[in-house]
Amino acid sequence: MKRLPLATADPWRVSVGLLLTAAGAGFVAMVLGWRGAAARTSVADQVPYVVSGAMGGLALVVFALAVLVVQVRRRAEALRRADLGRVRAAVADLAAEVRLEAERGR
Amino acid sequence: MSTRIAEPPEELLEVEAPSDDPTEITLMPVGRLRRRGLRAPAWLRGGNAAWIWIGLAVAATGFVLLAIAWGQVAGETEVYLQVPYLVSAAFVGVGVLLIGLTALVIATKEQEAAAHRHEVDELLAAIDELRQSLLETRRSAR
Repeated sequence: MKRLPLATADPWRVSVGLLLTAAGAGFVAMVLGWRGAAARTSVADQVPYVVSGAMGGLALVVFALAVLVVQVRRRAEALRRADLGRVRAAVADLAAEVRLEAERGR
Repeated sequence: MSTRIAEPPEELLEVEAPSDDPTEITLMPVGRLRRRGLRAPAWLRGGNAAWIWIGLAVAATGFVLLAIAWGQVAGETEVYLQVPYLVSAAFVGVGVLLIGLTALVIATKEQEAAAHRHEVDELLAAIDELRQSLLETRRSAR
């Protein structure tokens, strides 16, 4: 099986990297929109740059950040479940010890 | 009726198999990778309170950009001269504001998670203490 480099082996890291790249791309789109709009002297010619560059870029930033928040919440929830699993295992061990002790006491 | 409790999902990664058999896949907890030196520096980690201040500062920068956009747009009387300021400062300002708010939300979430992990560790320590005292009682009863 082909092994992935450690930096890309963690899906969470990969997703965060992709989402930050998407947010960066949104800002690049805004800069391109500004350049296009600033080079025109007619509002009618500027509007397409505003819509595609500025609004499109902003939409990309909003989307990437919203998904990033969702990813962080999902990871936190997975870690919380893993923590609860550790507690459950410890309580199960303790219960087994108590049961053993009770059987010996009979 | 018996209920089956689902196994807790563990955060695992596929990493190089340490065994002799190269075809064997070993799943390793992510925490072990982090202990190998892949962890971010302490000030960059999610639970650090510095991220809250960074988020607030970035959000404030977004507001400053919006104020600059307003100032420049208000100083122009031609719409075609106002549009570039709208795009470069106002839209970018909103984007920067959102980045700051996102950093703030993530930082507070990570702090809550760190506090939760601390509570779980304390709970586990208490359970372990209880188990040890049970074993101690058994030893002394013999």
